[in-house]
Amino acid sequence: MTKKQQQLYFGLLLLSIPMFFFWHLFSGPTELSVISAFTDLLKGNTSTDALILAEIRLPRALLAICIGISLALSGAALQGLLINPLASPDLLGVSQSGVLVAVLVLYYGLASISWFIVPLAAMSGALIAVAFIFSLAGKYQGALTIILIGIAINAITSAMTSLALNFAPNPFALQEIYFWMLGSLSNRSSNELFFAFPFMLLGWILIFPRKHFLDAMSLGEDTALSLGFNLKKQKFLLIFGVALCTGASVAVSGNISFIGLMVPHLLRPLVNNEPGRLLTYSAVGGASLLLLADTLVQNIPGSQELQVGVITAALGGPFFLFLIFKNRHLLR
Amino acid sequence: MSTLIQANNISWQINHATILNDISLELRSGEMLGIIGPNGAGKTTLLKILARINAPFNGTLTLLDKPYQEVELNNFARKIAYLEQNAPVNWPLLVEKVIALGRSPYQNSYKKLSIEDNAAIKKAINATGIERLLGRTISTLSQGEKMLVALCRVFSSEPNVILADEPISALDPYHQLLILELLQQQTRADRNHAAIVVLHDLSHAAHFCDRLLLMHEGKIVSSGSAEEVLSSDNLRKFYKINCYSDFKQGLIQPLNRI
Repeated sequence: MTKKQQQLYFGLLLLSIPMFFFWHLFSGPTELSVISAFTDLLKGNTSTDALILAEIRLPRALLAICIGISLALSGAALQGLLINPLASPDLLGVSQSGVLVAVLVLYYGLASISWFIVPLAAMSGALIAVAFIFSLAGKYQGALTIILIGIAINAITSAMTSLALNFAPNPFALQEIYFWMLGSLSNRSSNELFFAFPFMLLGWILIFPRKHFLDAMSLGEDTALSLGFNLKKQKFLLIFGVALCTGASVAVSGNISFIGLMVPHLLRPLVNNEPGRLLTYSAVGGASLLLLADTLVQNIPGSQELQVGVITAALGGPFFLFLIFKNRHLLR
Repeated sequence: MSTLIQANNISWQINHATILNDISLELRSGEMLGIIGPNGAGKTTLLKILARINAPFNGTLTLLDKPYQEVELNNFARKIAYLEQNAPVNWPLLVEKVIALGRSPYQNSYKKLSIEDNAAIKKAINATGIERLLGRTISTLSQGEKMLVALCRVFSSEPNVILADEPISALDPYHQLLILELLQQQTRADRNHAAIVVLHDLSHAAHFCDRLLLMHEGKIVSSGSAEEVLSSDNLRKFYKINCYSDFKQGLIQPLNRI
């Protein structure tokens, strides 16, 4: 791919965000005049349209952007750090651990205490998982060790989540638990946005400056060390950033799969496989993809709205397979 | 002649097995020091300790008379460059990106390559003569070309000391000579330059290195000129081979095992 083509694709990707953003605002169960709602909102009129826009549609669209950025960024960071295109927060069991803790909270009926109990639980689940994976690996923090531990944690937490499903006390709890497993952005309010955003922002601030470090990691840990990088510090900051991003995302949307794995993979050709530059591209791509998926979810006719996690996996999976099929000669 | 690296009584263990035992060495400016020895002698481990990738269990290390731990990591990386065995590149990066990574010790999180960075990169490319490889993906190169790119990356750091671990082990004769000549030129280019090279090829070791260290089971068993270190006695005792040697021609030809 020539440099011109790369720039063109990136430009289109950037442009797609405002496009999808407005399409997203126009989508929803009720017909809404977005423009008059906007003017009402700016004038301070409390019309129904303005209320729907401010309290439902804008938070949801902004959440889609933030979560898309966070998940794709986490995926790109993990893939760069572990030098493995398979790494992603879902594969390492980070998302799944967040889901499990949230489900346990729902299961024991603690969710009714306050709206932020479930997000807080999911957040801590993800952080605990990351701390556990890396402390278990100890000084043997090679990519393979981390990935194997992550896969085991993924299996354990998935099994325990299924267990909670089996013993769910009532259909209502069952439905709630399902929601956490599938991932969705419906019925989110600005509360969730304000809860998750600071954590995500901190995660972004931790991940982006590790750009050069991730590039150096392409030459292996030893050479990265010899190039002057403090490996322990860089790794810790990066992983903590990933935990914050993933935790905050799972906290407010459940487990939206495939974004973290797929987006960096899709965009790698645009950056000549450079893990550092891939961070920015993945952030943009993740935001665009999740906005699109969440818009589609709202526009697919049916009695009930689909979960966005279902869309990302159902559409993303086959597309991902097609890409692997097309590029399999390039994969080593 | 000043001392660039001084190592005193270094030892290293893994799982209670002693890999390095009481190693002391000195790297003087302007010299190309060769480390030789049979497989498992501890050559790579020693090089990694000198490159500060592993910390020794015992002993002290100094760079220009300053203890290693007192030299800031970035500063250390500007002075000492490490060329890993086989020089792996884990993503199919462009050649110029790999070379630019050599400037990492001079960069911070957000800075792009400066004018000095680009000048150093250009100089390194000229020195290694790899203009023709620019624009290509590293995974499409031959082993010899990959090693040239790795060497170019090391040169672009403008280090005082280059530590190279078996840089020629998988290369054809042309590239073996080219890589060693380039390393030798680099050590001669400036008074404060030097290199330590781990080698298996005894002829090349004799021909290119100013001084040799022979390692065996974690110890330095012989050091000095090629003639002293590669004596028939030493080769028989530590390598367990008989050789035909002609030091004038820089030729050591293994003949048979003992």
